[in-house]
Amino acid sequence: MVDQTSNPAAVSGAAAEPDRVGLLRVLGPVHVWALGVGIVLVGEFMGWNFSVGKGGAMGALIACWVIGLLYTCVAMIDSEVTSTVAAAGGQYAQAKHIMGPLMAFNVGLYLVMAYTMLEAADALIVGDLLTILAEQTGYDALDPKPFVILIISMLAFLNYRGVFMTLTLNFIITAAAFVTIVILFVGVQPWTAGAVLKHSDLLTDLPYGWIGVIAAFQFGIWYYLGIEGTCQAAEEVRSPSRSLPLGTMTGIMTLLIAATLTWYVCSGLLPWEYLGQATVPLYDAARMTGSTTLQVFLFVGTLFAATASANGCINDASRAWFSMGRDRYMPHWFGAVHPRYRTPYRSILFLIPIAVSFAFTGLLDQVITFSILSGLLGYTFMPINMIMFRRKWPLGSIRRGYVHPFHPIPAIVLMLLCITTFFATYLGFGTQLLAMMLFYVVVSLWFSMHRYKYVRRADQFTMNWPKPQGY
Amino acid sequence: MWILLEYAAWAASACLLLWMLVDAARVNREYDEDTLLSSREGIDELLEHGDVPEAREG
Repeated sequence: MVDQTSNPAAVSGAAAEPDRVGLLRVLGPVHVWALGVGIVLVGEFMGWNFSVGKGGAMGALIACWVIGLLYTCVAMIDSEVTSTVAAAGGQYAQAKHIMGPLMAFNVGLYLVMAYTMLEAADALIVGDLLTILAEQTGYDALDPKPFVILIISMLAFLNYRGVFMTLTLNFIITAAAFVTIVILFVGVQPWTAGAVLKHSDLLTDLPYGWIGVIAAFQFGIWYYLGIEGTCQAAEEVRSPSRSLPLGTMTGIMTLLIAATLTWYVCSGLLPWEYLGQATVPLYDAARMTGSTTLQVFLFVGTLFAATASANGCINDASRAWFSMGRDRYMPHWFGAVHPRYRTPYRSILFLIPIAVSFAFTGLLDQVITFSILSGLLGYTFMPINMIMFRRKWPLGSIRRGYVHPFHPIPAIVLMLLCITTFFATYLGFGTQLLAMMLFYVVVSLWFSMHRYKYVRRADQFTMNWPKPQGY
Repeated sequence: MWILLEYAAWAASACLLLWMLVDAARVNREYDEDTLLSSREGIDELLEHGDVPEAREG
């Protein structure tokens, strides 16, 4: 395991401020890519296919590209704001500087909830995969709980010991998982129509019409949920203005390719009625080819993707919680950094039992639904944030690492797509959506009436920016 | 074999969690709280290093 203090960047940082213990700037664009794509890629291996159940195969393709547009807007907006507000906490720090403390508190909680629940869902998936493997080897009474807690413990340990090794591992296993999708795509010989893929036989019209397509949007999110997590690395990348836009934009391009390949292979091998309720559609597609090699590749790919996702989620949830602790939005105790490994070690430890508790419920669909809802609330904040950012600090008033083109079109498109997806989510998970909204209203009241009095109001605004226009 | 793996997974998890808890307790004891909480939010390095040019749109 790498001792982070042996890194030259750490030494120079320590030399500059010997009494200050902060996060290490050791990451590059590759790590940013690994963080964003690593969290998301598991969604290509499972989950996205429920959109087929709602809108049919063609409806799922429309959802894949429309939600891909939503996330492209997210990536563009995030790239500009985060390359300028380069701080741990990502969207939380952005909201604090641009919209104010109450929005920041809510966004911070969206992030922690979304990532911790996704981590729990990933650990459940690993447990389920091992259960399938045990059944295939003749043992049908495997208890997944020890493996669920083992994967969370191992990844938390890795995160505890340093960010460089954590995200280097994430790069390796994420790239390997992506390669398995490409291998499957090549393995089904897409250049020979009808040889393996049977699109002409399997593709149908929209089975539930256009309302089915709209309903499919909520599951189209699975293709991309978490790419915005790249922002959490802002305080640990060597060059935020270069690495964050580069890692985020290449990440969304990778996901658009992976999503389209996944849809193409699965819809050409599996009838939509089965695909719409399959647990592991890519693995099932590999089984349909009859190739044992492809089956093994896809099993390993699914395992790697779930592991990479949980790993990235631990990283992101702990940074968001740490940032809130550092600003006293949560107890200041959580704002501690490990003096040797330079990680937010108390936040990492604190979130372990919470993730394990969610995972031990075994309710994968409920856990992932609450994760998606928290993510969606976060995306709805982004267009408002972006418009306020450009209004308060117009181009030229502060230095930006990256300026996204066509403003305000991405912000408007993102807002419209978020509203549509909220409607789609309401169709399927109305009760959960309302319960989630109620939860955030209650905690907002708690923050405004109780917690905010502990916040040192001047200390929380750290950006050396001029006064915003209009103030 | 799977039963043995289940026990091994419980044991390995316990060891990892225990190691982190012991290390955290040791750090909390050896370093004063002001040092551990001395991290500052990422400074706006774009402004601090004035040589970074304004990015062009797109």
